[in-house]
Amino acid sequence: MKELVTQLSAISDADELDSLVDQFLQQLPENVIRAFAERAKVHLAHDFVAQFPPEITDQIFSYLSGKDVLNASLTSRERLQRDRRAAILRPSLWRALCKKNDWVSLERTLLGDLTVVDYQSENIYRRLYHRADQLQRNWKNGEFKLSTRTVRRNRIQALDHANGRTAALAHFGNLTIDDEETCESISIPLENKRERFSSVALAGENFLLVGAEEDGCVLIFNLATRKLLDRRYYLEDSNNNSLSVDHLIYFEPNSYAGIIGNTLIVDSIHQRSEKSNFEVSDDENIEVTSLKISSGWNRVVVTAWNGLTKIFDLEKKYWIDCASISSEGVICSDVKRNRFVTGGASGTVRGWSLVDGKLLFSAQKTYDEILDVSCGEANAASACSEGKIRIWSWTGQQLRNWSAQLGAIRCLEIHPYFDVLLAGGDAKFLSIWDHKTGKLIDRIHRNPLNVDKMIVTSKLLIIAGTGSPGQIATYNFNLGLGSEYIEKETAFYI
Amino acid sequence: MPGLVTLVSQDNQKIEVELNVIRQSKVISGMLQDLGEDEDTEYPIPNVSHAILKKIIEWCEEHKDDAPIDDEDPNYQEKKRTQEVPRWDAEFLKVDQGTLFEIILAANYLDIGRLLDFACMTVADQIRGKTPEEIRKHFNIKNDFTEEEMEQIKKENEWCEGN
Repeated sequence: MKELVTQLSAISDADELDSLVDQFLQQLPENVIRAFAERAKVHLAHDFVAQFPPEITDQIFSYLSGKDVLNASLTSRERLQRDRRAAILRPSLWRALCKKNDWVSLERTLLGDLTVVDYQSENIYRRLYHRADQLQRNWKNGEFKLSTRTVRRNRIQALDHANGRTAALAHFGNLTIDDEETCESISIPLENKRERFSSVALAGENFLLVGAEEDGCVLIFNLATRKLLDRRYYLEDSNNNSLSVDHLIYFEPNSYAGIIGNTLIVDSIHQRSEKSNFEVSDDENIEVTSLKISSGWNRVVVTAWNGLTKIFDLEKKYWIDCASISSEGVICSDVKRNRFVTGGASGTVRGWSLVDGKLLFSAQKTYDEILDVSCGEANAASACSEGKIRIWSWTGQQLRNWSAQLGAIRCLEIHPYFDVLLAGGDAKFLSIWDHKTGKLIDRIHRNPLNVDKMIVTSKLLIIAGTGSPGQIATYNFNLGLGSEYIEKETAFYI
Repeated sequence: MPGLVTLVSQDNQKIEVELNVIRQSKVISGMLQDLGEDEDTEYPIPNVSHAILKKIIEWCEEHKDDAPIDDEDPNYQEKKRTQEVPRWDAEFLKVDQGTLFEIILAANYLDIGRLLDFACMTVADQIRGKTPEEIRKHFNIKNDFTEEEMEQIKKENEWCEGN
């Protein structure tokens, strides 16, 4: 064999070599020649990925999961050394991986848990990826514990969460702020104990906004000093009976929006806007059911009980009417990036484009009220009063549906970062599902309350119950990561 | 013919191409602006061979009516993250490894964002879901690890598993 190889390599004339190889191949059966061809392919293949400039390797790796990147690096010592350098020393790759999973926006919340050394090193995105990945596993494996449970004397009217703080407004104006990190609960003193409030919003690091129930005013508090900074009245001259400020939301930079009767108010915390009132509809008795924001697009979606669905551009201050021929009442909505979904009183789920208000799909599989909807990247979810959850593609195709419980599901959230779906409702129902497969991860049997309000963050699931006394429960998924919260059960009355 | 420009490839071969087709390359667009859209001017593309330049032009012709992309646009970024390679482009990129390699380098050099995205996605598809052994076979990479080393590395990177 050796001789044959030596003789063949000694032949310098290409034609002679060709004819010899041809003669040789003619004597072989077809299957052997095919096997040769396959072998030749392997020999012709080359590790071209290794020869790319770093930015292209980064881009290729950004389409892959951490496991695939690791497998690609584990092919040889040279590649591992290079990719390790790439992965560890080149932050762009880890940033790209975080970006791919939509985890970059977790930076502020998760990197806060890291040591100063980690934070200042170039490893931050590797750490962030690691942290987010561990959290994802906790959510997907149903690893959590009931971290706090608070009881208020009155029912919980409104709930908001931002920057590690939860603001809870109980009926008759009892207002408290719970801090995730310190586990402290502070009460915001209100001047007039008889005054009633209807909405609350945490505004950045420093402010708290509270909407009044009777006189259409918004109160602005300084969170650090707990002092009232301003009390702003809107619609003083209106004949409208309802002057309750509902659906208060905060948006960057230092601005807020809310609904009073048939009017959308948009204002800035520091300096009052010249024109801050924008009529949703000329019907004074309109009942606005939801106000949701897409911060990336700086637009809000307003839905109403009379079937109205509208978009308001917060920057350029103009309305976009959504094309709908139905007068079915709209109960709920949810926005994600440039799309939003609405749920109707007769079971219709509609998907819309936030860009121009175009209807993307309209689908109806039930006549029961859709009590909550949630937007995901690739699909949307809806839950109805008969306890069914449905997953919809953005073309209106029903991808999955299942009966989650017998009673109504009042809250439904597709997790903003990890592939899980959370549902809560009557009969103390609270469940976590795998959003991709629809598999039940955990039904939280020990959940102490009927779920009426739900907030989902990267680490926490916060629920508030219906009825009085008002209860708030916090489930912590930040386990095994070194910064667990102290488990405590507090019951205090204000 | 009006609206045509002449590109000269690495191997000194000339190719005529319509202006609106080749504008998808930000580098050539920039050159056209700098040197003026003169029919007699020849635009050298020193890093791309004739065969690859022909492939690139074929791709540009198919995509000449596409809206220009804006890398900063969050909408595009989102699409890029979630989309799959369209059927035509997947067929176009069904080439041998050497050609795919050249196409990626050329798309990177000529700054044709979408082609670069699709080509990189194609390579990522060739890696995705494969074991190190399968990747080695696909790209003809020589394994120079000892068994112990492999175990050690796997242990260190366990957190990556299952993701």
